[in-house]
Amino acid sequence: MFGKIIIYLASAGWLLSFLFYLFYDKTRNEKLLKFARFGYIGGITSILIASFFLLFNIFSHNFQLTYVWSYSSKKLPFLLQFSTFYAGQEGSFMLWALWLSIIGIFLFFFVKNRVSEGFPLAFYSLVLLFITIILIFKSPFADLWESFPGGNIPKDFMPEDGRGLNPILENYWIAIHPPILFLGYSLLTVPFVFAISGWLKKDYSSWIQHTTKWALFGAGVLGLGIMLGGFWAYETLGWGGFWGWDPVENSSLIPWLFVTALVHTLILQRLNGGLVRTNFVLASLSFIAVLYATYLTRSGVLSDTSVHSFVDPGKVVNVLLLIFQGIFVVFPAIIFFARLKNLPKIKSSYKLNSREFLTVLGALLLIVSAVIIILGTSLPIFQGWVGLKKIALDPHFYNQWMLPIAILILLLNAISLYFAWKTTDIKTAFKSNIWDLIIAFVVGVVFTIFNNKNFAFGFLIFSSFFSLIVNIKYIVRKIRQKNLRVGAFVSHLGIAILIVGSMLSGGFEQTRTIHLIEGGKANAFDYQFELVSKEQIEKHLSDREKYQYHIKIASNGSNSILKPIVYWSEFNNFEQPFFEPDIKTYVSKDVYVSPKSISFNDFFTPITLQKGKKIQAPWAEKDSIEFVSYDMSSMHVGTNTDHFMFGLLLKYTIDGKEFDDNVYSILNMKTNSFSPVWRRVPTKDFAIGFTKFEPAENLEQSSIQLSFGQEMFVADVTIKPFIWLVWLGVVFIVVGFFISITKYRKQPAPKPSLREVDKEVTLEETQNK
Amino acid sequence: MKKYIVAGLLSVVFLVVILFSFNKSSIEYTDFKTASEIGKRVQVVGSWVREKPSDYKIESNLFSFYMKDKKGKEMKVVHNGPQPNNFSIAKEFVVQGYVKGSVFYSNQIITKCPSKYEGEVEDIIK
Repeated sequence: MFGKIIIYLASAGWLLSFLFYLFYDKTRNEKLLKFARFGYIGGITSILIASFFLLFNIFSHNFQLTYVWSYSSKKLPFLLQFSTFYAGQEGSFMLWALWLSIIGIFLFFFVKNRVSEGFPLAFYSLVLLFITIILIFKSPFADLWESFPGGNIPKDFMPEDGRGLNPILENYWIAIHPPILFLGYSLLTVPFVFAISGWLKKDYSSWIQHTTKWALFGAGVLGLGIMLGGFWAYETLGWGGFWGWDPVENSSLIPWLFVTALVHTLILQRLNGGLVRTNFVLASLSFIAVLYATYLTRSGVLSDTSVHSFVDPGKVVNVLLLIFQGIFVVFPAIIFFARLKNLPKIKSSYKLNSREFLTVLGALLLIVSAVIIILGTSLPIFQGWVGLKKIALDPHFYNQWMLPIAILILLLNAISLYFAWKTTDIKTAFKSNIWDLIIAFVVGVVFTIFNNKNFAFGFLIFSSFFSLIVNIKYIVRKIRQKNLRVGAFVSHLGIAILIVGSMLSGGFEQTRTIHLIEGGKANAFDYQFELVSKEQIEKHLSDREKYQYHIKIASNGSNSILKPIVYWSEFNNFEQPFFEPDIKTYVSKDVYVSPKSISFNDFFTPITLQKGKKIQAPWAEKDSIEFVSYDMSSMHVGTNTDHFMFGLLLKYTIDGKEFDDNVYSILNMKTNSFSPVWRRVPTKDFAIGFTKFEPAENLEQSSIQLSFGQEMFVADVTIKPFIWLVWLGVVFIVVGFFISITKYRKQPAPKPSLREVDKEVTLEETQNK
Repeated sequence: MKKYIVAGLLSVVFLVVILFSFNKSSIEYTDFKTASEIGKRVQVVGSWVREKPSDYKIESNLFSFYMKDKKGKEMKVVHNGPQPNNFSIAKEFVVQGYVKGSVFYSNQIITKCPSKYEGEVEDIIK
């Protein structure tokens, strides 16, 4: 109840601050300002309290709340309990509101000292108002009996324990990646509110000054967040790569591409006043892209075509998200067209041989990439509209489009440094840098020959190395001059490193499947793999059976142990295992061992038995197995009513000794499937499984099948050459953004445009009078 | 004005080219019959024919089994990789690949499992 009230208070606060800031801006009435601030501070405070309250509920295991029950449990370690805050949809909206509120505190002081509080904070409040409205309908504070109205759940019912986090998320990365990504998303709101506030006030240039730092910061943080997601997928989720052009990944990349394009076009307006409209559009688009990402990943529209699981939030929230998006598309569009005629006339045509021109081209390429990714990702939606069957898009689509774009971007990265602002003597520029080109060309040719004359690949390598060399040269040169404005070069260098890394790791990737029984060996590439032992970990947790497979990897006399993980969890009734890869990193490559399956190879012919019968054991003439009786004592598995534990009591006679043991199979009533729980035969190194049940009129006449097998660990071994270059590249990109925040060209927008704006404003004002 | 017309035309060309490449890169959901006819990479939804033989060859890393598509047509599937772990309990699954001769060569099996990823009322009160 308390939580819900707080959310209502928050929305009231944001509504208040939206309206009053709006009117304050028109009237400049100090009284209105007081109300507006009251609402703004109230909104922030409420969101902070609500967030703490949610955390408190999580830590105090209040499973009365549907949200806490759905995603948390008593068994979760502290850090993961903390992460349940945003593990579900409700919580991720809460996290978004929380970040916006925290940013809102800084924004408050930022605008107070520089511009008027009015419009920027009004629209900022509007964004928060919408999110809090979603939080009202999709509340993390809903009680169980409210969430399941038909479920006859008594009021104040408190389940023993929560369902817990999806095991694949149980990793420290969930404490890192989502918060950073959401901080990035949230930061992109600021350029947007500055843009619309500026244009509404017919101020087309000073908002650019305030926006630059925020856009740089947003792009840096979002880029970091995206990369951490990729690293998480590679390092623990075992997806094999760091990027798969999945809708979820794409939808986070789109805003980043827009805001990065914005970072480039902002520079140009700061330099000579051009690209006024472009900057407005890009600032709006980066924010709209965030909303679109939210829509894509929260609405369930893509559930058929993605590896990520989507949960449909229900009609109300879907409609809300659509309205929310609609408003934030239409609103800036209206402002844009209303102000078009009013724009200052600035001659901003760039000469073909100027750095400006190349920068515009670069930004354009980023926008084109964004458009391609939007179209590809939204394809299922378009198909839904026109009533076509939804089809999945092969990642090939993106790779094929991004290849030429990447080449162009890299070439621009390099050549633009040869070019001076305004105008360049191209001949001399290239002459004095001819060695960069030659070296890059040689590297490209070598790679082309090395890689089966794949010219596209070679061309990309050539352009990467060209960009790499030129950027390093300029960074060194600048630092020698004691000029630390190297952010752009560092980021561009990062792009080149990233692309080289992904080309090498993807293009020269090789995979082999290995099969290992305990003590067994297998060879793949130049390595020998040996399954030394299997160790159960996290034994104190009863909801899982988690095993580390200790695999010795030997090559040229050096040994090391890899520990990929296979585990079964109550979360899916032990139906299918979850896997975690392990990686051996060398300077030149990663050896990536990713478990694929645990299977049982047939050891002996299966035997069929009826109750009470005894049969000779397949491994030795003297030994025998007797099927004593059925065991139905532990029928239910976990919490699921569809699953039954079907058991048999067996009596073995092995080397004259008798052993009693039970073997079980899990019967799934929904699918009618029968999955044996393999069990080691006493004193032997193989396992027995209850693999079939052939029903007859009664149990006595029914027969069962017992199979014998050895557990086999099947894994893909993948060689990923130089994949660390990918991580290094992204680190450079992000660091570059952060360098730029502190060390960027502090050059005011040129006077003429400012004067023109002033002139026009005064003109219009006099007309109004 | 001329500038905008050129830009507009370029955008249209760009969009049309992308639309064509959608067609090339898309993997259609279809059945075995159509898959045999077109021979292109497709996805087929279906279920496992448990009665027919299935086996996994370690040396070649190929898993073969019989699958019945939604229209009831059965076909032998040879999958490049081991049997997925949830294979035997999956109600239905999607195979991605192409038909050559009378065999569907798959390189990806996506299983859809009746698992409790979403909370249901029965889970609350045991």
